[in-house]
Amino acid sequence: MDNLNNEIYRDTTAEKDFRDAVQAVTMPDGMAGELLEGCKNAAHSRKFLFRHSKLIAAALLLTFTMAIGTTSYAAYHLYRTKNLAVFFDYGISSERIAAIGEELLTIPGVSSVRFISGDEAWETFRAECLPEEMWDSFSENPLQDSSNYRVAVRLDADTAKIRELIERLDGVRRIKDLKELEESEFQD
Amino acid sequence: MTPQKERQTENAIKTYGNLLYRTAYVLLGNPHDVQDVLQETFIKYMEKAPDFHDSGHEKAWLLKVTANLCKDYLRFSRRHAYADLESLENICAVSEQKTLLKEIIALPEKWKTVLLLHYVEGYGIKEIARIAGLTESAVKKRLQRGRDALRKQLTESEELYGQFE
Repeated sequence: MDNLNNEIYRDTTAEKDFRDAVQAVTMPDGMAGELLEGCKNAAHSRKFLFRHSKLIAAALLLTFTMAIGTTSYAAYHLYRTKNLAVFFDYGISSERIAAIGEELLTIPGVSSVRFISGDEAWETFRAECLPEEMWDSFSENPLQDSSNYRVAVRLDADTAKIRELIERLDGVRRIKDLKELEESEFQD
Repeated sequence: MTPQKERQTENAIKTYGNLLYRTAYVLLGNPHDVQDVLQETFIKYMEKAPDFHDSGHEKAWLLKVTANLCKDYLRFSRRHAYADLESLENICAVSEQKTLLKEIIALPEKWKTVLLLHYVEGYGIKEIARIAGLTESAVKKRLQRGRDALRKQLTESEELYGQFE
């Protein structure tokens, strides 16, 4: 081991050349500035994350919960029900609309009924289907007379029979399957 | 980053930048990887550096972080360092040294680290053991083997290129 120690500290040509070759390597111009900028950016990102970490964590949790919840509920609901849209005669009174809602709920196989006003129908359609640049081209709501009930029908129920019963209700103009409704909403 | 921290980091880059650059370059051989490693080193310095007793302590800490990052880099990439010959043009002005550097970079990492720390930075066995996280006897063995390999490689290069006097 003594020999080893002595050999290690002897400055031979090979070791000198090694040292000279390595010491000739220098950091390129400008890299020092880039490294400092990189450190500043990292500090800024970490500061933002730290300061807003609780908010970011809460937002992530909320998004995750909503995604799971919505997906699960949507999948569950889709699995369990089929949806119909029930449109009313033109000029129908609000009292009659309310009465139709109550009658729909009494039909076996109907699990829920939700009223969609003409304004809501237009807002939804506009947001989901129309390019923004077209929004101003409508001065009035073209779906003003398209208020409807969204009727959820259990999948195990006889949908054809239910449609028959709904059609017989006084004040019902038309019934559409929700899928075909989404495809043809603006053609009513 | 506080102004004080910024000044401290800037000083560290100015003081130790070249040293760490050449260390990482010899270990990795590729300037892009070297810049990444140096960036990580100085970010760690900014965030986690201890209170240094003196500049020697600071230098040893930075070398240790750099060497460890280079080791991780090589392990992660599952590769060995190779010299990027184009980059050597920008980094090394003397052509004989370029050839030498190529040979040095081709050495195994475990020998290069101890050779660098001893022959370039002048650290003793004990200090190298602390920086590299090795026992003193492991440092001695690696130095011995590294030296032998370096001499063998340089002798072969000399025979091939006739560059040594």
